[in-house]
Amino acid sequence: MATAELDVVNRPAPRVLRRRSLYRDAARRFFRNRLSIIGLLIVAILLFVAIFADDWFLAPLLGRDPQPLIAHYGYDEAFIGPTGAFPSADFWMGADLNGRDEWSRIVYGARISLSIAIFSQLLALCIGLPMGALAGWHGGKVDFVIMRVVDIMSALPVLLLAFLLMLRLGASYWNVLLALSLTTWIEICRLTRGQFLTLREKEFVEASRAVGSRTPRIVFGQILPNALAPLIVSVTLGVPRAIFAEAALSFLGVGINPPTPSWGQMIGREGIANMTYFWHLALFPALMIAFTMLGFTLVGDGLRDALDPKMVEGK
Amino acid sequence: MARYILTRLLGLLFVLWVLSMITFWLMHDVPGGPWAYGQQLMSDQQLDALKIRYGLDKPVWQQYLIWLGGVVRLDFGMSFKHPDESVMALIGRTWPITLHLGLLTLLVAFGIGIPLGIVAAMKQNTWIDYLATLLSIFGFVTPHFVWGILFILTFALYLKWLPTGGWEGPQYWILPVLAYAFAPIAMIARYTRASVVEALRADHVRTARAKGLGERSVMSHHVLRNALIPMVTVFGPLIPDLITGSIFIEAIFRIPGLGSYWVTSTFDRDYPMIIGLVMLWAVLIAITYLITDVLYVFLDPRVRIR
Repeated sequence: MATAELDVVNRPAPRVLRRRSLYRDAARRFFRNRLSIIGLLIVAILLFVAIFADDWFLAPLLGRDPQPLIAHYGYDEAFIGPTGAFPSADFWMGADLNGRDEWSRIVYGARISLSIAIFSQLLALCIGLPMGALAGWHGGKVDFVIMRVVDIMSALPVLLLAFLLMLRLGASYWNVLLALSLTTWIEICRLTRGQFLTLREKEFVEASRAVGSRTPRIVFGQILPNALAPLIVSVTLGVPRAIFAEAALSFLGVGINPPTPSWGQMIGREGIANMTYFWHLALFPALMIAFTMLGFTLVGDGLRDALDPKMVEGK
Repeated sequence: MARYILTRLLGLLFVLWVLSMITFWLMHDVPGGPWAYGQQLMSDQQLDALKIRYGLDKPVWQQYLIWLGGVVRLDFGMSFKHPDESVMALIGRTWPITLHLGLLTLLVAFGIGIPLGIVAAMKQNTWIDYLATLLSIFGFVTPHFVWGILFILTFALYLKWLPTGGWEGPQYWILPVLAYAFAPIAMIARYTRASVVEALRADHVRTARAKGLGERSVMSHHVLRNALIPMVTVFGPLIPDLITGSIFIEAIFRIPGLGSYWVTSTFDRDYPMIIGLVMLWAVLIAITYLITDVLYVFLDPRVRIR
């Protein structure tokens, strides 16, 4: 009898009793959703292509310039023969009017589009989160001032603001990043403020205060982790929007400077004007933009469904 | 209610004022000037004469006050790029085309989006639902300029059914409206579906079914009414976006509307036009939000304005 009891104690805890956190539950729900897996796959492929476009990680060790890996040629390597060539075995997506391989430019373009989209969202998070937290936590005058700034910013047409900023800062990679984050932090700020406003009044925060926690501990230890889920979703869904915005700015000629390729720039500079004959110059970058936005949107949708506690299992 | 609207309008005036100052400062701070690109060969004296004529020789704050003085009399100044037209006249000439396109787009977007969402919600997890979901994902993730390109390539260049661009008659409307409407259709269908699904789960809907009401009556009286009211806040902001036009759609389909001025005015440093457009946009946005909020109170008796 006694040994049997001991046996029960020593046996590994049954699976049901395993510690279940929100994030572990969410991960399980996320991976059960077929669409989010497809999205994750698309994002993974794109990241792989962007990272391994050339061997930039090996080049410094070997003491030479990076050689193309997934790309076939350098993005500014021009050939005289195939100017404007249609897709073929040598040039998978054809060549542009400067005789550059379209496939290689698409591959290098993935690097630009993805990195700008992801980093601009992270930068926007770095601005929006503290501002929103400050507004939501402090309330009063701080809240008033921050929210008026947000009001004014959201009354500005985003494209025009980004456009003026780009003209002011000058077209370059870092300035596109900056302009995009300066126009997108507003939403994150609003969201964070809302979260802080609700969570501030919750019992567990009161309990934490009652046992003598200091403000930083309450903010970083109690409120922030609970406010994070909608922010993750917002940032993920912000990525496709940033890809669109970067494409739009480059399309209009104030984004990434040539010869560095970006998909929007490829459409805007050569694609639209020559669409009636050289259809491949507009079609492939357009498809890539759509494909990338699809991937991130599916992942964002999946995350939202997975992290939403209202989604009861089995429904 | 009147008091609430008045407060909101005063708040709007404040936002507009700050916004105009920021825009004014930002656009003058951008390097280059209206005649800096040298499209015309001008001597320095001629350039100076032009600057004096348009008041650009004065400090920015003085220029701002002069502009503000004009705005009070609803005079937004003359466009630099089109010296024989005032900003108001230019907007008055090009906006109707953009409005036409935008309103058609709105009509198509709501006309397709709402029924699609309702049907998807009623026939949950059937092929219609999946088709609607798929359609709305693709509509959502594909920028309208991509749709524009794809539509021109297929319907205009390959099939030769419709013209590639221009704005001369109904056959010219179809492609831009479709390309422009795709994303809003997707968004409207998505939200409508979610909202109707939630309304279908409500207890009073079960009660209505239990007391033997027909499906049609349940849907129209108990589900749709409750489902569509919250949608007002989602759909409202779509409207100013669509009726101010898209530079991309208008550039791709060569439509002579207002959309292109959003960008050309900044390229040309056409200061009066830039700030005129910003003000137009801000007023439209603010008015739409105000109308949305007020409408909400009328539609949903549970909401009270504080």
